[in-house]
Amino acid sequence: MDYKKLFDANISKESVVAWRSAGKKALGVVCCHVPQEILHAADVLPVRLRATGCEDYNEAEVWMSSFSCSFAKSILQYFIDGVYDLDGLVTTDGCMQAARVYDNWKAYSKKIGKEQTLIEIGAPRMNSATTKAYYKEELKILAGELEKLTGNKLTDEKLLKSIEIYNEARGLVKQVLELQKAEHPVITGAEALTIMLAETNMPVEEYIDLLKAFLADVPSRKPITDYRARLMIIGSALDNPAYIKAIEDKGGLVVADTLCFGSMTFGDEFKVDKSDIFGSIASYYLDRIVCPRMIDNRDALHKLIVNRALDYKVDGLLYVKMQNCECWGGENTYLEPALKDAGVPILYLEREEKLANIGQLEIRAEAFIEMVEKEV
Amino acid sequence: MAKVDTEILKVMSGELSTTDYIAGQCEGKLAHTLEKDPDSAWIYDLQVAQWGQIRDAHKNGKKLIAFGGPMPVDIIYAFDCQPYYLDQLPLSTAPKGDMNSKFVDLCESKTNQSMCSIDKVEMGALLADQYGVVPDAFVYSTVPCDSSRIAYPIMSKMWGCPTFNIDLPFRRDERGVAYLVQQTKEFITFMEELTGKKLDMDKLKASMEIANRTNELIGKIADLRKHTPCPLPGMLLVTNACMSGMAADPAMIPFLEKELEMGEMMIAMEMGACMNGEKYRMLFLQNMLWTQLKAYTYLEREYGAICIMDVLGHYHPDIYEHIDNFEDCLKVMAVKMMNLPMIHGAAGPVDYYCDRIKYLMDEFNINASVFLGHVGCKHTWASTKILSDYIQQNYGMPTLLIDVDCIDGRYKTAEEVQDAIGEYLTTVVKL
Repeated sequence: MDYKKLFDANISKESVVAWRSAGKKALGVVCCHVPQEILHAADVLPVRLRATGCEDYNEAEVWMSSFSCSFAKSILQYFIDGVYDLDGLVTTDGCMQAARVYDNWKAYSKKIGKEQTLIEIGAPRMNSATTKAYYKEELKILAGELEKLTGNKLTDEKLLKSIEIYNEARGLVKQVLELQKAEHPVITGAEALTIMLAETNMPVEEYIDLLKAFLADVPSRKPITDYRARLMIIGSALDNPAYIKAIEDKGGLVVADTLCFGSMTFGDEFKVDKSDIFGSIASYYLDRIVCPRMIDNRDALHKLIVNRALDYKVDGLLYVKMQNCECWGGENTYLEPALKDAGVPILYLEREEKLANIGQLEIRAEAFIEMVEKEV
Repeated sequence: MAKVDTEILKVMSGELSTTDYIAGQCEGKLAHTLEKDPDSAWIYDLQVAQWGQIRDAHKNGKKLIAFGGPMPVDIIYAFDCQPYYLDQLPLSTAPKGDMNSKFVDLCESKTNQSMCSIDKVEMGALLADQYGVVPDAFVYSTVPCDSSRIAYPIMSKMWGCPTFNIDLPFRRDERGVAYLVQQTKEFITFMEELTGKKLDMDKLKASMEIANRTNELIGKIADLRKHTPCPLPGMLLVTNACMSGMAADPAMIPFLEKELEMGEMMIAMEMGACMNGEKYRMLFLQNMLWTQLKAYTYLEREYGAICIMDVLGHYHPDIYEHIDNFEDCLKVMAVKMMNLPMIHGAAGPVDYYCDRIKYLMDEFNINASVFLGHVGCKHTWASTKILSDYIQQNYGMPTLLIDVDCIDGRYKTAEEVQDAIGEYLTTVVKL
């Protein structure tokens, strides 16, 4: 099977058009605290929104100002430009900027007279029995809204089946990520991110088939031997493999990340309690560590980052923050000493959604690689 | 030659804590006012009480509870503890530019340049070890914003004291209220463990009765601002911020009574706060310009332009109607948390923001709209077009957008802000 689609980072309309042509609904998803299993079980195509390649978001800036996160603005821009032609949107109040995508999407669609189904659910920013119970009810509200939209009854069987399918994807993604642990991996960091992003372009079943085909072909791929340093990337939403490629072109090889569009997209296996399916989904999505939007996961997040850096034997870590992204704005206070203790050097970088100042990035990345590369 | 504030220099050099500085300044101003203008002393009485209580909490045998964001503060009072609303620090020191700059810069060395400067000052003062007081607990909620959600956990770890968090939902409905009620019950358990005392219902009732009185007064004061000409100067809107931490503090009552009395007297004398006549009744869509409070006086004097209300600062009075019904009171506390300044408009879908604007536009006879936008408040900036379109469509009024830093005066001077507003009023606003 040809798995080339896994290596195409462009946003494709193909699957959405085909899906909607079949009379089914496709909804945009902002934030990884929207459990895609629920949309899948309702026979809705979840399209995780990204803005890869958005180089001009001037019109969205009119709506969201220059003081907002450019990732959020770029998503709105793609809606304005028609890159996303969907039946609506599901967001959480995950971070303030994600929530404002919802508001502006709603206002813009009203302005142009485009009918949209808009759903916002509360995703608690702390983890306790009380917040899980609340989130569980929010997920039930989401399920109810999806039932109304599609006319499809969301049964336990359908949910369990969807969880099983997504778990299969999780297992395969894990195998892809494991490839990066090798001394001479067969995929670059830019390729790994592209594979993760591909899921946003297609139904999960197709994604699973492509992943299987790719993994079967791994033995024929040429190991990468000509890199100077193994690197890890952490930070705000990064959906542009070209950014990583610029770093890798200077001799680094990105072998690990904790990006919400990268290795954190899927997470570990989801163990479901069949007597409380919505409760299980709530627990899974609140327990898993994705980003610092939660107020009580910092120590765990830092531990995860340090352990991953050690596990993947990285020589240095790139902390890449999106300008105006507050959530990733304060981790260095405690993370930096933890990484120093573990002997992992850090380079701080700030970026915009568009690939601005790529030359400066290359210079800084090259200097950092030179600093951390091991003498052979 | 300008007089050098030697006390500020001590703060800058690290010799003097922020609490000692602010409390000392308030006491000094009160003493001076009592001597020169005793009728105005009430303005400083409240500040002296507020900062003195924070500084002397331990001396007075009270636990000091630092808090951020919406929390059920009336319960803290009921446990005989002293709350310290952390936002009071940057708001109080904002006019003292150099001092805030020190803490902003220090915080930026550890975090993020784009973080809200309210949080930068709060965290910077801790990095400098210049609070001058050590809280016995730090309790905070998950809003108002992403900045506080980053700064507070770091500060909590630095202080190393017991902590408790409340997750504030975006839903302002029965589900949201029930969610907060449950968390408030957990907060009571936390306070019981912290203090070693059970919640005394009589003390809770006493604290709620004070809160009822202050809420009633602040509501009446806000109503005075509906009057044309507005009897109270824009600068006195700072009172709203005091309510966030002190609604159940007995010291608020005489202050608010005096403010109400002053406003009523002005109306009786048919006088307004603009000494040369009132022309423009401005609604500021975001916050107060804490760094440049003198700009309010300037605009009133030079343009007859008065800030009737700042939307995010607007204090919504909520009353405990059934004070003997504990469950009902918990529901009111939940609503109070949702209705707190900043939270009511900014921490949720923009519809809430529009609702608040609608109320103020409809009730307060506004004829000019200004989004005096604090740059750190990115999520409110991300709603500016929706808000300004809403006002244009419903009230036919254009909105002026100006970026300011409410806490770090280096960003923009008072003159720049005044000129921008002045030009807007004289060239764009049609009366």
